[in-house]
Amino acid sequence: MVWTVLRASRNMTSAHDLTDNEDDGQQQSESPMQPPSVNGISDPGISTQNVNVQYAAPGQLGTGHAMVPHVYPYPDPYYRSIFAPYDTQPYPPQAYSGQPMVHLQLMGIQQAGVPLPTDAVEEPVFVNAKQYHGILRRRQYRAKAESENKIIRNRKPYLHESRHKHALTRPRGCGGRFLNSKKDKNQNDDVASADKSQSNININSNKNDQTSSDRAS
Amino acid sequence: MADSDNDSGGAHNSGKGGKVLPRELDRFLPIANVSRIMKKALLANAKILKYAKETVQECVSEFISFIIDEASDKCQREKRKVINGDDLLWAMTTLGFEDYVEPLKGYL
Repeated sequence: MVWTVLRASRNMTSAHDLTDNEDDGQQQSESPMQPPSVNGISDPGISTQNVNVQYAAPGQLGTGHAMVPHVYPYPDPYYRSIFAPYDTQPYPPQAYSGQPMVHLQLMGIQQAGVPLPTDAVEEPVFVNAKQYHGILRRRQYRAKAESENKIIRNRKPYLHESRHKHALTRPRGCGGRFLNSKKDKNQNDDVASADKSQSNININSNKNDQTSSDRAS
Repeated sequence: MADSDNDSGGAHNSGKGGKVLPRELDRFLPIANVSRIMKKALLANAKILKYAKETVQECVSEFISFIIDEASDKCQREKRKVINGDDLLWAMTTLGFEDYVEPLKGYL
């Protein structure tokens, strides 16, 4: 009976898979937030700096960023047993604020689901029964990777110092785009196809990346 | 442009923090490839924020780990060391992604 319902739900719409992906993404985005509070004083400073960078970039790009940072009083109870109980980082609220949408989608898609322990404040997120154990296993792996490798959530704006400096010295036109970008060798390498529209897409994307990277650093 | 170029190249040259860099690259798919796939579904003049690319990059990487962990568990139970295509198809079925099995049979 339960299996029949699950199959019918999946066949009706493909949003089910997207929802699961979003849920997993949230879990992934939550776990890296814990190490800064464990490491001590210096890490919150680094995180704060990253917060400024992250919120400043969308404004510079000209798009209104609707996300308002607000701190939740309770941390995720799952990670409480592994890391420090109190976390004031603004990143977890981002993950939490996205959760109600996922919750509503899941409620609409799956009528019979297994309640997954996620957060003490919000209601449990219902997931596919087949994926329950897989999700729990992935959580343990991510927590283990966090404790062992201490993977930092902050991403590097660039990987190669020399290329970054070269990009800083390139002439830019109005709007921050590179000048003569179509004739540049690196730009040609990035273009996957010879189509003009595809070339324009790649140019715009690369320029946006470079602009945000430049302003962030 | 530098970000996209570096990620596509897959070079592991480390200007600073040599230990962190390879792990960071190994955790995710190359962001340029993810970005290209995202652009295929959008209009020609659409632009994608860097944070959207990073979020989708994390989501697809997590999805891959989700499937591979299930297949890896099956191989461990059967005392096998090589994950083959049938294990991936079985993992998709076990996790409720039956719709993917038929298209994937042409690749695995």
